[in-house]
Amino acid sequence: LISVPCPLCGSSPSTDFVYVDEAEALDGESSTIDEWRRSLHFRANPFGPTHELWQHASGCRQVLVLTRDRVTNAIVASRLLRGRGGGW
Amino acid sequence: VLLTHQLKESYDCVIVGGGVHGLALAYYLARNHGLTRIAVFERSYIGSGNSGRNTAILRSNYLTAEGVRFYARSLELYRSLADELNFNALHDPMGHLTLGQDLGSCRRLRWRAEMSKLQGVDCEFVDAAEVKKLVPAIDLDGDGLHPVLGALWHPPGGTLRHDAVVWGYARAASALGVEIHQQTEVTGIATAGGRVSGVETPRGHVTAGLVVNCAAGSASRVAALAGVSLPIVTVPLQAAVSEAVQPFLSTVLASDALHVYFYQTPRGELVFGASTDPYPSYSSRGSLEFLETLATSVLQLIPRLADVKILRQWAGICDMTPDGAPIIGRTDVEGFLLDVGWGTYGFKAAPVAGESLAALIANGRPPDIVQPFSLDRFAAGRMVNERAASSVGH
Repeated sequence: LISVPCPLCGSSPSTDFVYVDEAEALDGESSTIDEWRRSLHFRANPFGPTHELWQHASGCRQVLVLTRDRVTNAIVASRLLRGRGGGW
Repeated sequence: VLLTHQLKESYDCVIVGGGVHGLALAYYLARNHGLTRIAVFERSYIGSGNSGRNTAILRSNYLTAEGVRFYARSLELYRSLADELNFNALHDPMGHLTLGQDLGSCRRLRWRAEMSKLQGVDCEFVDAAEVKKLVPAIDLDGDGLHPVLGALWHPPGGTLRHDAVVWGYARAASALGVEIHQQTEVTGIATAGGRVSGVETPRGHVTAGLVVNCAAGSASRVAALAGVSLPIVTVPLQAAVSEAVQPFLSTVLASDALHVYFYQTPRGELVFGASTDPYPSYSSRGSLEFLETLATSVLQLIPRLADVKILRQWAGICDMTPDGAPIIGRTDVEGFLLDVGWGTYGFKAAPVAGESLAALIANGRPPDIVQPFSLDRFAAGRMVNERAASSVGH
């Protein structure tokens, strides 16, 4: 069980959260059809640290941007997605 | 004991990953097509990855015609493998029973039964009374929450010793002249003008016109070395084994609703598998919540196991594709081939994947049996929906 820090609620067990996706945002205005297709299925799936979207489903319901290492599961940063310009 | 080799300067084909898929491919390239200038690179020891971490279950009762045909061929190859490789693989065709505990899952199971029959695979939907005959220890009420309504009965399903398959393929491939380089990680893939030209290893550079990615659990990482991105998300799948108890279970028992599957080994231990972890990770650490969920599900089916102790638990690292079907064949980089995206069903597919990919390499075009599994199906929207054919919750 990993502990996920939420900027609003403090740390909670990962079971209170839902992993959403990699935090790579597609620019809906200028993307081509091929870019849309790729963004639907293809993922960086990195072996190491990455930015991810998680929703605090059993908490404040906010979507967070986590910086998490997928090899060690260590979470080094957590912030609210709200306020990021464009996309989400 | 495997031979050790000096690294040559060049090979016709480099296989990345010395697991059951990479070794099967090497074996079929050499045996079926006479290609022997082949090197298999394994970063650890052979079979150290998912080949030794799966629950060793065989079955071919999938959901699509493409899937059933593919896994049926694999089972056929597995049946004669021990004889062919002269290596005891302890094949136990104990049968595979998937419980239907709600109307939706019964509908899916009936669909799979009919699809399997159409492909000539022995599989039928049976009622609860028949389930009780096959598994007398079962609580048909499912603890009141998940009543057993019927099940998909697949007599050819069963188990086969996974490490024996690894060693058998490795020994046979080696005897045919294939070089297996253990403790040799592929750290780079060289390309020139859109073509593969070789690989980098800590022991030096090797030139090769063909490089095949057979690195289950590291598929995205290896593909990225060649500049290829994949529709894969990597997630751990945990499993566990109990202490030995008196023989009481003579089939593989799987539950759609409870996302659990288990069987009893000849030694009496119970081998369990369950859901994939709920977020992507390359960590193979086990978790307590997995054991809690597993125990809850198992006890709803077989209450008498309440006092049985778990001996150990572990995780395999699964490369999940969007449609639950694998990715086999070419990429945009000429000479860089894929045998990846094996999700939770890689072990049972190894012989057919190796045989088909070997044919693709030798003949220059993919055999019909793997054509549906090409990488370009994602952009073209030709998915092969197998996600509903697994007892593993995704």
